[in-house]
Amino acid sequence: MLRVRAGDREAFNVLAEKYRTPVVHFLYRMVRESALAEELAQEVFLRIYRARKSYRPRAKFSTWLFRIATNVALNALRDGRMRKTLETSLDADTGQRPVPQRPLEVADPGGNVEQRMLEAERQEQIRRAVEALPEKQRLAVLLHKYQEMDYDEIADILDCSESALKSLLFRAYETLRVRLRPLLGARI
Amino acid sequence: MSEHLREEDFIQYLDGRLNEAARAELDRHLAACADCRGRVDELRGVMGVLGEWQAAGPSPRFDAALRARLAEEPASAPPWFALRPAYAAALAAAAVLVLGVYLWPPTPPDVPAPVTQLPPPPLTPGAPPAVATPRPGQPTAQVNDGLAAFNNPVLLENYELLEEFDVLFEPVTPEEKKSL
Repeated sequence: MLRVRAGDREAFNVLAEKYRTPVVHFLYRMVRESALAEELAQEVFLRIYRARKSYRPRAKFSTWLFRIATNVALNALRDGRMRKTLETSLDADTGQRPVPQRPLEVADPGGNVEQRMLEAERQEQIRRAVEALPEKQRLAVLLHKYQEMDYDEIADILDCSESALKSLLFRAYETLRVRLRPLLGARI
Repeated sequence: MSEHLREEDFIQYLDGRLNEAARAELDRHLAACADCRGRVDELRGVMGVLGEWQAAGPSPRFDAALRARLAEEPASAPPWFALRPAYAAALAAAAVLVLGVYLWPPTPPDVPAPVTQLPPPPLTPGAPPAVATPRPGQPTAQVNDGLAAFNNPVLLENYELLEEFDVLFEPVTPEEKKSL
């Protein structure tokens, strides 16, 4: 990032290449629409590029990056960009639930149709359960579970203490434990 | 350890972030406490279930689109461009406010300050008021203008109203009396 700050655009491309997938994944789970997630991810990288001169290496680059990604996602959710996209999808889909434009990166694309439908239904239940969490808890879970970030990084992004973050995570997982109990099945 | 696990303990225990001594202590408690053990097992299960939620990744055109947008960016952005939108908006609002205060026309210096004391109501009930009663929000300068009052014969006949104008009833000194 220090090379980027010095004006090295190629270094920026390397950074973008390294972080584009986690950022798009994070934004997809926030806005649940792949085209919008991608557009927002580009906005995140553009903001990074524009603010490169104000970057201070006091924290990890990933902390700064996900703090910006969090702000961009929350702004998009608040200014209704997601709603507009969903309405368009609903119109185009004759009332059916919007579906991602691209196939998801499923680890095992095999299996019969029924099995895949069951998997899709499970994923939908998980998505709904996470989405129903209060905003800060949802962000904490996404950064902890899916980005595997350290407590201090997440606490920095969410502007809270590490102790408060652990409590936040516990409450979030407790809620999910109750909501997703039917899916636990053979896992416990 | 006889106490149940605290909120923080659950997460750190499941993440494997506790030191060896703390972990051993919690393990001893979990071996003896079915409630905490059951909860830990379910939380571990939930974390596993959450891992099933797959997310869409970037499309093959992501890099090209980003590079195209970057190419539109100036090599060196002006300082204000690096401001966060909220700061920029606050700065703009402050500038407008300062400009507004600066350009706002001040009260002309030759206009006398309005007198706050209003004339009393007319003596005769139902009689038209000698001076228009100001409505809320209406300026009172015209009503209380002393010179305008002296041009009004009805007003001049109203002794009680004239009492309000102190200048007509200033105490007369003995010297002044002699000269009269």
